[in-house]
Amino acid sequence: MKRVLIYKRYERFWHWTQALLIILLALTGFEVHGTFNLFGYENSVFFHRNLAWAFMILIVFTQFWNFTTGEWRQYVPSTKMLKAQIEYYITGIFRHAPHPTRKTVYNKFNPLQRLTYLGLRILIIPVVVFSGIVYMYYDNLIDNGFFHNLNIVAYIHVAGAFMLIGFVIGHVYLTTTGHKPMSAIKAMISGWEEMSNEDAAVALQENLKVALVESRKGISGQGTIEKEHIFESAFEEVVGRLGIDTESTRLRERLINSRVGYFRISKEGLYEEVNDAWLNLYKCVDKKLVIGSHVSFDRTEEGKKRILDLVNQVLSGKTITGERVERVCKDGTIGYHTVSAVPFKDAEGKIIGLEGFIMDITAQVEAEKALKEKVAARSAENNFYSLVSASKEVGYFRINKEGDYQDVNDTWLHLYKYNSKEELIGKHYSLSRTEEDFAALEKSVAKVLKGETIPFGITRRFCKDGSVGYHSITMTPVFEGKDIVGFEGYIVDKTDIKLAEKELEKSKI
Amino acid sequence: MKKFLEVVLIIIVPWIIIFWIVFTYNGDKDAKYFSKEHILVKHEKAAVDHSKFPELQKKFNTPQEMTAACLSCHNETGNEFMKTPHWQWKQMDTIPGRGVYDLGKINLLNNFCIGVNSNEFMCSMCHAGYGYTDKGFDFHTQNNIDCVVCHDNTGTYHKSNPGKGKGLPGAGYPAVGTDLNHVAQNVGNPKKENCGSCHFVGGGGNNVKHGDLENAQLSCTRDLDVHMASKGKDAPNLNCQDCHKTEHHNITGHLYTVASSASNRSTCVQCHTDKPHESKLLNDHFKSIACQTCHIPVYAKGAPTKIIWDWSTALRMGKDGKPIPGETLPGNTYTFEGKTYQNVTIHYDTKHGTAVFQKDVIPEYVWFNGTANHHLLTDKVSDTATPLTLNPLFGSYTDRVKPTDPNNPSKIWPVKVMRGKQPYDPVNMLLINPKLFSRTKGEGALWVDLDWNASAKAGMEYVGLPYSGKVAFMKTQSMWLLNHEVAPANKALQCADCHNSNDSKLKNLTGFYLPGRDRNSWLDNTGLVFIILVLMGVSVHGLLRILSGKKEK
Repeated sequence: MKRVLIYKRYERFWHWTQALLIILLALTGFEVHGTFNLFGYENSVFFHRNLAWAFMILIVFTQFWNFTTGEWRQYVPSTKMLKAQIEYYITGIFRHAPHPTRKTVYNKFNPLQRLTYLGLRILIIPVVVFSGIVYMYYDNLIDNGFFHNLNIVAYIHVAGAFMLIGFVIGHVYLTTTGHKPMSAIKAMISGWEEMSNEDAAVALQENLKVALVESRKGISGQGTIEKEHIFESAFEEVVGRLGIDTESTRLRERLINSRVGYFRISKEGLYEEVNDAWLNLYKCVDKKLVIGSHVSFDRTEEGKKRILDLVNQVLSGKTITGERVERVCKDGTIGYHTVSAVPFKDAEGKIIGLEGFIMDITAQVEAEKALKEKVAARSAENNFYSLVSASKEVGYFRINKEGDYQDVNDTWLHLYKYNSKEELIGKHYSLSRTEEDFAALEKSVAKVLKGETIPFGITRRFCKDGSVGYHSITMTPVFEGKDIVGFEGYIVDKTDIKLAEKELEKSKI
Repeated sequence: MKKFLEVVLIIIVPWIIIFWIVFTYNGDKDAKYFSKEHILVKHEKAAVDHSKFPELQKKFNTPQEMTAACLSCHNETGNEFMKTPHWQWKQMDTIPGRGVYDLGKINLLNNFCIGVNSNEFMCSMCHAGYGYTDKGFDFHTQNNIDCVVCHDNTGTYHKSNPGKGKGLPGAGYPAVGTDLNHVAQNVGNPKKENCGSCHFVGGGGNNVKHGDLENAQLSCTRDLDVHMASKGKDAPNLNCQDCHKTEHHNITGHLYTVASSASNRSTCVQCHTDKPHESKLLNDHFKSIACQTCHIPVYAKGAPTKIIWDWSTALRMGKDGKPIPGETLPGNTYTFEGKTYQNVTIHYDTKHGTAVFQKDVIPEYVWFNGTANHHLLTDKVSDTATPLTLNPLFGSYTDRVKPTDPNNPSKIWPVKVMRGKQPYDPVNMLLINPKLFSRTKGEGALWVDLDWNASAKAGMEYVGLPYSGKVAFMKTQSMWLLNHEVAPANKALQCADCHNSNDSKLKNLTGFYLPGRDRNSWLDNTGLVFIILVLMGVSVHGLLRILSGKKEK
């Protein structure tokens, strides 16, 4: 069993607020109707009015949310699988047949739910709300000679109330038909729905696909803001696939800043669509030059082989994530990125191409290369320092034999949340580690001071403000002549990935 | 922990905020709320001391001499006063849909002592004049005006009641032995006692007629009448004319048993405005409901009022063959027209028939638009099976012809309904104006000769209408709108007194939808069945799921 994020925060807020509002509206409403005594007639009248206003405000906010986020599409009715869904509730559920439809963040409702909720939204709730408004302002309406029939208004309002109560009962009952009886209610509270492993896998894949479709739709538009939004949702799908909380603002911002490039390639391997970020990464100014060109065009021999291999994998139906590839930019420079891609299907489900996005990792690869060169040279004369310390993507540091900081670059300062070098230079590196982490690192440092170059892997850093972050660290000795006088290296921030992994762990039950 | 915190932040915290606002926010404040604290009542001190005027020093042998002295200074006041119904006992008034009539005590019938005509000698003890013995009275002689019945501030001036003894004066003359000079030298603005000397005791005794005007109001707490209270906390001790604004002796206030149009009224709104509540919802009720409806939940709080007068039982003799002078019958319930009245006192005497009194009476409620019809003396009776309403009040839920504000529909008002049986002529189909009072036998006075036929003959002849020689009795009722004995706010009707499905105060007013009182039983039953079916459906479905689950295992 896995858990998949289905409900966004606003959705959960809206659902439970609306639920309580409807229950209290029913209680106060039927007291005003004269069915029973509960709060006292006068209290009920005023509570009912205030509840009604709260309800209407909530509706306005929610419809705004629905339209701006595209969630309204969830309510578009569909007859596909409708019969299957009805049959499931009538017979299948008793035979323990699988649910005919799956719940994903982009398709939360089965066809029966779509129909019911749409009916609720465009028929029952509007009828109750509008009859309620007329009821509330009846005095003003008769003043203006509209009509003199409060009973009709009241009857419509009451009839709507009965239908809403019927809906609530059925709705609450049907929540028990999920993976486990409480799965759906728990999901509505926490956002995470328990699913069988198979369902979860399908749900995640669906989420990724739909995210890409959404991104593609937005790309024809102009301007960067709209595109940022697309990357945002695209990114959410990547981390969503890992099963982590997609709403972490910090992660999202990083993604947008990291300039994700989108692309779509036809079955023949020709570019059909790319976005501005893609063009920037490839340093192409004119999109027209790219569209229609072959994916292997302008690549090194090695790169050609690799990219064709990946394209073929996806065209055969696989989904790839985080594959590292090399690119040759328009100006002849070489860059590196990771690529994630899924098959792109037509209406019948036939694979007609692939689409995906790329995230730049050039700086990291450059640093690796510089290090290789330095190790190969085994001398003080190398350009490792000049290459790495200027990097905006990786952090550079140099520490002397005694363990005191001698130099760091701006990226390092940024990652450790220091304001200036002066705060650090001359201080022992243990201040940037927790006690336990220091012990582990000390051993590696000893090895480096003996002449080894080691990638330490992912380690934890202790920032100035007391928070912790994660990065991979690579250390290499600093030579003065033949003597080792200290060590230097670079760090690549891995906080996002580490947090993502942690979340993934947590979501596994 | 983080998940839990998230749930708290996105569900629990918004709930607390939203529902705290929902349950505490009062969105019902009326921006135009006018607090009663802002009402100013001015009682000006008299500008003159009448005891110093030489005109009032000379000995007055007749009340007319006293009036002449008043008029010698107030030399236009006589003309002014003679235009008012307090003098004329009638005024030009419009009955909507009928026309313009001279209407008043002088020519209308009621179901207490029925009619003034032929009984003036007695009735005029409440006429603001001297010598109104019969229809020959000269309404143009200013010296016959009784100024001091209203303006006496000594409390010593009373009109003579000719019914109390053979030799006593009548026709509005003062009681024997009244010191007219003392009275004249101590005149001033009318006090409650002056107005109350007639208006509290109409119908023959304290609170008999109106039900909301009684001697108790001369000295009461706010519980009995918030406006007239003079005892206890926050007693405003208002005079009648603080509300019944008066200019040139024209006193505002319309009694719909003797008036028809919505003119010259004295209203709550003139002081309180139509926004007297903080709550807008309550103020909005004024569109459909008169202030009095909620604020006079009960009347006759001091003394009992007469609610039924059955003339048909009059003239029954005692076992000794002599007239019964007046006795209280046993029992405290009385059934009339199929309705049983609880906690009543029943009186009988040979001259008047049966009278039923009740204290702390719950009003009845009617739609009223500020105008009334009247059964005129000459109107034919068409239906004797159902009670005839002598002053039908116009108005209905759908009525939009309005009193003060043309946009205002009729309102629900509280009324005292006075019921009874009174004589009519079954041949001519006219209500009978009987002669009741006389000092001499043989003139046909009922209370002297104890003969309906003679009484009817004399009374009808007096008003110039035919009489067939036959007397029968029919049920009638008259509508007395309640305006006084306003209760303190905390004793006013509450929402659920009317908005209540079991025992709404307004249960007799139908033809409109009252939230909380009314429902469509078909709709309610269908809704209930629908919900039961849904519940049954999910129960059966759930049960089948449980059963099929067990089988599997």
